Amino acid sequence: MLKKIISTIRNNHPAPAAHAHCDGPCGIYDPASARIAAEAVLSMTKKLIALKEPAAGDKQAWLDYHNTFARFTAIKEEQAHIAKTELLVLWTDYFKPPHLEAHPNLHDTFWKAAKQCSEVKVKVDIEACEKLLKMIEEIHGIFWATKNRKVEWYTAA
Amino acid sequence: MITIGDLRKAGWCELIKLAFGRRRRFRVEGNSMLPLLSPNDEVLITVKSNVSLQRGDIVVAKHPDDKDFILIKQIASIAEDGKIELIGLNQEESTDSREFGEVSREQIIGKVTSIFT
Repeated sequence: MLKKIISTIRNNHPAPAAHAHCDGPCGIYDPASARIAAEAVLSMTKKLIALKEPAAGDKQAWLDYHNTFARFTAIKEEQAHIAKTELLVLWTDYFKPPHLEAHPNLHDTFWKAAKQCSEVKVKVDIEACEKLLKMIEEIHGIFWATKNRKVEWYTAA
Repeated sequence: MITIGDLRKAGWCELIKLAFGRRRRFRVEGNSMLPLLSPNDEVLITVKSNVSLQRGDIVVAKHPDDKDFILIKQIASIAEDGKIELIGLNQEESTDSREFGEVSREQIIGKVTSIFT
């Protein structure tokens, strides 16, 4: 009876979250992880666009085509989500109020970049991916400025 | 320090206190309170601000740098000046006072009294 009541309350009235946060205590942050994921999204977007449709009637070729298309899309989706997660962790865990004072556009920059991660998921759009990378480059600049370090922006591709 | 056996499942008394607003519910996110609390476990906490706190209590608190970010941690120590040191049980996977420093009494939302399951 008690278990049933508790279960009903839990199912019908979600409780707010209390974070038993699972970041490592090492305090190591780097926007590079978001950049790598965003580059993967760009790469998969290019591959999707480049994918050639097989000849009509070739069932096996169409199966392969759809399988490859689905795999590319799944990876694009996954990497876009990773990029968003990396940005959100960096935003909420690394940056502190003094950083915001020095970089008043911090929240807006991260919010727009996180939104752009959704944009590249929804679309197959090279321009949107490049825009996301530009945003991460801006975050890279802010991040390293907070550490008083000059770290050149670069991409793996 | 608190152990798994010390935190009981909510009984009728706790349920009644919840119904009368003397308990609040929170859902655990993350792994830092393992093995005591797993992700998606729910807990009940006290709502009175004057509840006594001691080393070993599991508490729900506001992050010192972001009051909207709610943490669940264990009290590692309470200094003479009232500053409270919070720590995760699973210290390999916890962001706690080792990173964000001590918290004040005002940042403690409540003490965990039971697991709501």
